Amino acid sequence: MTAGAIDRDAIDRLTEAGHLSAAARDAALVQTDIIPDATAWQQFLSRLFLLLGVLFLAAAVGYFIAYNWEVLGRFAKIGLIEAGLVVAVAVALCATGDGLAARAALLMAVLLTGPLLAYVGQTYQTGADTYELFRAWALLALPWVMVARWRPVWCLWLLLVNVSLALYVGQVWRPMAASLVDPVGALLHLSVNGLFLVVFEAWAGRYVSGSGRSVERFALAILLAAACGLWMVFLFDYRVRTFWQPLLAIVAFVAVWWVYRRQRLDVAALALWCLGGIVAAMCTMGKLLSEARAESLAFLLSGVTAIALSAWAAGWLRQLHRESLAGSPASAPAEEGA
Amino acid sequence: MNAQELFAALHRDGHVGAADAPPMAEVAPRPPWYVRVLLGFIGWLGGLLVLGFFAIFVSGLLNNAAGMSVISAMLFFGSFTIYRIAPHNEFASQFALAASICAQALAAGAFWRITGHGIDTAVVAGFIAAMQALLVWLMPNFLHRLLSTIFAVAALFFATHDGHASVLASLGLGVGFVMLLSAESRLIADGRHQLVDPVLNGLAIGLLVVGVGYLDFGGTRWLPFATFSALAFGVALLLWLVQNTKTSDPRSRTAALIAAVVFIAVSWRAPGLIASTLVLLAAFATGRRALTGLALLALPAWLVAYYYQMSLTLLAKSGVLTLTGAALIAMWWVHRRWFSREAT
Repeated sequence: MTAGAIDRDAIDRLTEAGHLSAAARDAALVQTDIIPDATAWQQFLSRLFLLLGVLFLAAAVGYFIAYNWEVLGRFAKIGLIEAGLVVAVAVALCATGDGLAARAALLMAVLLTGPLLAYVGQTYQTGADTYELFRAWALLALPWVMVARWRPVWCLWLLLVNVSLALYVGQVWRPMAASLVDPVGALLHLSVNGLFLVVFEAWAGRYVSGSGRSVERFALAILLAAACGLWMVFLFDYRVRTFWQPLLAIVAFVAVWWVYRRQRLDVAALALWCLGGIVAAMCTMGKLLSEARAESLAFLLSGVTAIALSAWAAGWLRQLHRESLAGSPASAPAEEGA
Repeated sequence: MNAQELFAALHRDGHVGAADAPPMAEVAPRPPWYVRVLLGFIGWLGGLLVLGFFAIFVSGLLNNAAGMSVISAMLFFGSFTIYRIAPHNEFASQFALAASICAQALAAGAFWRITGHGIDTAVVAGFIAAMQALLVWLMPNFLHRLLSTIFAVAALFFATHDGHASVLASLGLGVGFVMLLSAESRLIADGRHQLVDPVLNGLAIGLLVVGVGYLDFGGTRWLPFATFSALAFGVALLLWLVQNTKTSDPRSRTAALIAAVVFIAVSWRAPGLIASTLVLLAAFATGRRALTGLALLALPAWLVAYYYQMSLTLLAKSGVLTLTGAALIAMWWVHRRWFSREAT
């Protein structure tokens, strides 16, 4: 009990065992920096006020444009959005200090670009499809995203790119929600997010700050969902199934395991990998048994497969978590089967 | 800081009698939050698949209230027994969770059958809320208690959303959450850690779920008592602030209370926003980082849900957001101008 760093669980166990009183527990949480001190509160509140304020104001502009209020003329509306953009960029250029104000201003600029494009489309009836709006939004916002070098803005940008892809597939063939289980849509999501992830992990990630590894995990989640989607298409949609779909899905899963287990241990990424794998295994089991006309058994064994694999995954991930806490090398072959 | 250093520091400050850390058995650290999310999701999915098995295997089960009740009781008993016998076995715990999820669905189906098809769905939701509350008490497992608390909160809101009781539910959950937070250390010292931890986290997540989805429950109209619910969450937020600024200097405390009152005043047509903000601040204050992140994600999710909420025009919603955003920017400026040096 005396060797490693003490955490909340250990403090709670000591309290429950009677070694710490309620007041001593509160003091212990302060001593160990588990609960924030005054400095952390200052920083948190400052960021929260600014970022939420910017987010709500940008959303307010978007809602306002969507309402299409006729009392305000077209020049007044476009002037309103462009004035917001100019102010945001000016603040970003002039801001000093820790860079938060500049980043918040760039976030505002990225957010306002969408309503501006939507307004132009709404007023001049350009005939553009919705996916083109999101594509133009992502392209026009990219310079600001690169200048901001901040993970929350990169997450927003990646979301715009994926919405654009989903709408492209959705508008041409299927509804938007199904783009991940459409062979072309899944392939697009897989390729774009895979490429983004490679660039981000190998090079760009080191120049970006804030929010841990949120961008990488967001890209990875979509990549694995797309790989699962390809697997599902092969399993369930006999009209469009081809041999490359399961092959590509397996390659994606093996590559993710190799990178995040062998090259750079990331337990959260491997948890996403496990989730994708379990869903794919469960569906495979269900499909095989229902093909064999054993429907009730298909439900039962799919459930048991999911339960067994998730129990195994929990044990494995727990072990990897301990390994990452101990800072041991990522490649310990003996532990794979745990 | 390790346990030895902690006890030395606590001893110096007079919180413990001895400077040496007591010997304690090595316990495996709990899995990180994302592993629990994985287990919870798959356990829930597994439960639905087991339900599908029973529905096909036992012919006519879903039309037979007695059959559903018997299988449900057996599964509940089995789940409880597994948790008691093998509390640390991952496979057994997952199996117990799936069995319980299946049992819950069957119990709700049986209740619906017994009370008749014409019954208001709010009554079924009330039954589910009561059942989940009982399961929180009975099932000796963190994940089960967490999920049951979340389901109980969501079911309670669904059951009460159309009547006066929704105000009581909002007030009870908001104030209850704050009171439980303030009593957390005392309850853990009394040996109730296994119950308090999942219930606190579940209440927080439940409030976020309700906060994001709250207005959608009303369909295309403003919920009749949503304004009072906003006030109820506002009261909970103010209560939390009063409790957590006791040791602050009077100037900071007054400023914090004024800021909260301004925030509630400008966002009263968005009860979900006030509930989510309460969870966000409470999660940060107690050092729950995953919950803080979840609450931060809930706010943009709330913005999306708010866009599609049909009872207010987009112009009115734009007005609410403009006022709230401007108030927050003003708070940022005031904080930066007069309060940012306070820590040093």
